[in-house]
Amino acid sequence: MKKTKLFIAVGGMVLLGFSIFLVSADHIDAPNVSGTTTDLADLFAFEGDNPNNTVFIATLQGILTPGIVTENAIFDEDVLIEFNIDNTGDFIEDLVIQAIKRGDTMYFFGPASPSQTGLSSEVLTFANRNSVKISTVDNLEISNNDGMTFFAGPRRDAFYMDLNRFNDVITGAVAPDGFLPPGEASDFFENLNTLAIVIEIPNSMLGTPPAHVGGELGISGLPPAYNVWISAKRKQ
Amino acid sequence: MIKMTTFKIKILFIAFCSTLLFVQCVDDDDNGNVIEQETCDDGILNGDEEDIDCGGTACEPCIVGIEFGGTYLQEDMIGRPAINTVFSGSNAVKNDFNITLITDRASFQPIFEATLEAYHDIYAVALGIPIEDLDYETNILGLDAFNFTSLLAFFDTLQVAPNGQTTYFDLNTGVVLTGRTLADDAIDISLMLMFGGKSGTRFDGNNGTPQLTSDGVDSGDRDFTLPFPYLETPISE
Amino acid sequence: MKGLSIFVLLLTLNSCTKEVKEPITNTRDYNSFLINGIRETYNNALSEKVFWSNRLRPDSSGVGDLGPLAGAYTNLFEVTGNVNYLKNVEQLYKKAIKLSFQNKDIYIRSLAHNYISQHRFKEARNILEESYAGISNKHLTELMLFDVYMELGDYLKADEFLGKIKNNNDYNYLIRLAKWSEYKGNLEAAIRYLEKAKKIAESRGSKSLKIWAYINLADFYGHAGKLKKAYNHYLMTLNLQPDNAYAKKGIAWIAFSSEKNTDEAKRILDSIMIHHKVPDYFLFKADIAEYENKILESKKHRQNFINAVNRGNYGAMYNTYLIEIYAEKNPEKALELANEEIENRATPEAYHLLAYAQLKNEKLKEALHTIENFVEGKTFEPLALYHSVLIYKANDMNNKVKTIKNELKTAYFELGPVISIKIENL
Repeated sequence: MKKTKLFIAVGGMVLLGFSIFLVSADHIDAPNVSGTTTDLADLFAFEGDNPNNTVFIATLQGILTPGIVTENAIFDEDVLIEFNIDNTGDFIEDLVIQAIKRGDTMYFFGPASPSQTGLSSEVLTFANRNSVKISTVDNLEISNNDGMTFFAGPRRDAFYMDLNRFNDVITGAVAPDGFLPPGEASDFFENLNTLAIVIEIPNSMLGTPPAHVGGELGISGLPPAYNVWISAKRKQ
Repeated sequence: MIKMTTFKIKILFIAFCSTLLFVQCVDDDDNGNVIEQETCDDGILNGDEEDIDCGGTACEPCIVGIEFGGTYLQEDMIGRPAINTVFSGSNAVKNDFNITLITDRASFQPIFEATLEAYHDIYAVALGIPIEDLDYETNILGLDAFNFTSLLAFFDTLQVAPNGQTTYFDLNTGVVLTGRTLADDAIDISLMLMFGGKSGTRFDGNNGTPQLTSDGVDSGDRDFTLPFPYLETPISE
Repeated sequence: MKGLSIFVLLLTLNSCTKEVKEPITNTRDYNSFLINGIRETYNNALSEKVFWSNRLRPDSSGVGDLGPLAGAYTNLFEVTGNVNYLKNVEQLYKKAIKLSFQNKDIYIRSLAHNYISQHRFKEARNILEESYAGISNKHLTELMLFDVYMELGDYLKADEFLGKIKNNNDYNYLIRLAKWSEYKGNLEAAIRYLEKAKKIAESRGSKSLKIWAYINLADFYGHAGKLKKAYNHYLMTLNLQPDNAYAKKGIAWIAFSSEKNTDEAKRILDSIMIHHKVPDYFLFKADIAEYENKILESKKHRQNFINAVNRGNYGAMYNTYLIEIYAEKNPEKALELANEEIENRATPEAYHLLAYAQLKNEKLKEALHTIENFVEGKTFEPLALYHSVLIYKANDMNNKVKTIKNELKTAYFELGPVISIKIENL
C-alpha cells in the first residue's frame, strides 16, 4: 500500500550489480530499468518532542536489506527532495524545504517560497542554507541551525504492513477470507531499512495554517492544518 | 625510461607552482590576523577551516564551488500513505498520478472511485453476492464514495495541524487527519475507511464477512519513543 | 623564472611527441585484484539470496519476496556464470507475473531482461509488445523494446523506439544512443554518448551505473584503439568492484592482443577462472595457445569450450562461437547452427557467420550472396569484415580484399593476434 515500495520490490536495483554483460558477451545488456532512485516511500509529519515544532520525515529507496545493501545505499545527487507546504489552502506550495546531496553532505534550503511552483524546480540557493553530514549505519550525525534540526541517512523502516497478503486480497479469489489474523499475518517491512531525511522545524517558520480541507467534504470540527507533500525531482 | 623522466619533471613543475601559490596564501594570512579565538563567523580563515568560516572540525562544510544549478523535474510525489498504490489500480496510472499537479487531478477521481467499487465487486464474487448488491458504504468519517475518492484524488496531501495532537486517525481520541506519526497504523486506517462502512467494522472478519479492515500486523518490536531523528538505527545482519 | 617554466614545458612537449611503445598494463595496478579471496560481489549476492529465500513462504506465494530473490539470483549468475541461476530467475518472474495484481508489467520487463540474457530474443519481444499494448509503464517498456529490436536486427523498429525515448540528459537514453551509433559505425559518437552517460553516473554517485559505464566505455575505447584509456577504465571498474571478472578479462586481452604478453594474459585468466565459470575463457586460452604455436593445447582448449557449453544448459547463448569453431571441424553442423541463429535473430552478425559456414562448406557463391545481401555495408564489426574478406578472397575479388584488408588494420587489437596474422597473410 505504500506507494513505491511495491515498485522497487522487483529486485536487482538495490543490489550491487546490474546485468552488465552476458556470459557470451556478444552484446551489451542494458542496466535493469526497474526501480529508480527517485522512488519515495513514505511521508510522516508529527509534533516534535518540543511541542512548538513539527517533524517531517521522508523515506526513500525502501527495501534495503540489512548489511551491505544498506551500507551501500546512497542518496542520488541528481535528485532534489522537496517538502512542500501549502499554508493558504489552494494546494499550491507556498513554502518548500529542499534537500539535495553533495559529497558526503545533505544540503537543505528553505523554508522559502519557491521561485516557481509546480513540476519543475530550481535549487533555492538564495534561501536559508543548512547542511548535515550524511549518517552511516554506525554513525549518527545530526545538525542544528536556524532553530531547525536535520538528519539524513539509513534507518530502520517504520512502515509496517502485510504486503504479500495485500496483493492476494486485491486479487480476490486467492484470499476470499481477506487478511490474515494477527499471528498468521506477517509484516513485510519488519527487518528492512530505508533511507530517510528528517527535519524538525519550529511551527513559527511555517506560517498560519489554513482551514482544514475536511470541511469542504463535510467533515466538520477539524483544526486548521497545512497541506503537506513531498516530491522527488530529477535534474534535467 | 624516457617517459619516467618526463613524469618526474612534470611533478616537479607542479610542485614548483603550488609552492608559489602557497607563498601567496601565507602572505594573505599575515595581513592583520589578530583574532586568536577561531569561530565559524569571524570572517577569517583560521583553525582547521578549509575556507573562511567553513569546513574543518568545528564549522559547517564549505559549499564554495558546489554546483546547485539546473532544472529539476518531478518524477514522484507522496501526500497520504498508500493512496496511489491502492487506488490507481495499475502501475501506469500510478506513474501519471505522480507527475500530475495536485490541482490538476480531476481526472483521477473517477478512476479512484471505480477502483474502490471494483474492490467491493471482488468480494461480492467471493461471498457469492451479486456485484450490484455490494457497494462501498459511507465510511466512519461520513464520506460517501464521491467525497471519499475526491479527498484522496484532489486533495492528496497530508494535513498537518500545528496545534494539538497530530495523527492520521486516533480512534481513542477521535482526532483525524492532523498528521501522521510513525506509530499510526496507516494501512489499517486506510482499510477501515475503505471497507469499514459507517461503523468502521463492516468487513472485519466477523459474522461471515472477510477481514478487510485490518491487515493483521502491528508495528512489532519497533520503538517509536526515540528522540530526534525519531527513527531507529538500521537493522544490521 | 619564466625561462625555467618554458624550458620545462618544452621538455614535456618534446618527450610527449616521441612514440615510445611501452606496455600499457602494469601488474602493480591490478595484482591486488587477482587475489582470489576477494569475492565481495558473490558474498553479497549470496547473503541477499539467503535473506529473501528465508522469507519466502513455503509455497513461494509471497509476491513481494519474489522480485528481490530474483535480483539476487541474477547477480549470482553474473558473478559465477552458472546459468542455472538464470533459469531460477525465469521461474521466479513467471510466478510473480502470475501472482501480482497491480505490477505485472514490472515483472514482465524483468522477465524480458532475463530472456535477453538467455538469448531468447523473440520471447522477450513478444511479452514486451504484449505488455506495451496493454496496461504498462510505456517509457520503461520502450527502453526495453529498443534493446530487443536491436538484438533481433529489426533496426527500423529500433530507430522508431529510439525516437520515443529521446532525452539527452537521461542515462538510459544515452547508453542506447551509444549502442545505436556503434551499430551505425560511428564509434566516435558512441564513445561521446557513453562519456556523457558516465558523467551522469558520476554526478549521481551511483556505483552500479558507474560500473556499467566504465566497463562499456573501456570496451569502446578498445575498439577505437585507445588502449590506455580502455585500460584505465578497466582499472576504475576494479576499484569499484574488485571481483569484476569482465574488467580483468579486458586487461588480459590488452596484455595478449596489444603486448603479446601471453604469460601475463594466462596468469590473469587463471585467476578469474577459479570463480567465474563461463566457457568463454577456454576460447581465449585457445587463442593464446594458437598464437604460441601450441596447436595441441589450443585444440584441447577449444574442446573444453565445447564441453563446457554442452554441459551448461546454455541454449543458444553460445551459438555464435560454436559456429566459428564447428566451421573448422564440422562445417555441416556449423551451417545448421548458423541457420538456427538466423532464425533466432537475423542480424548482420548472424549472417556473416552463416556466410563463413557456407564458405567452409565450399558453397562459395552462396557465401558471397549472403555477404553481399546481408552483411556488406550493414555492420562495421571487425569479425564480420574479416569473414567478408575471406569470402571475397575465395571468390577472387581482389580489389575488395585489398580495401578491407586495409580497413581491418585498425581492428587488429580487437580481433587479436591470431586473426591479425591470418589477415596479413591473405
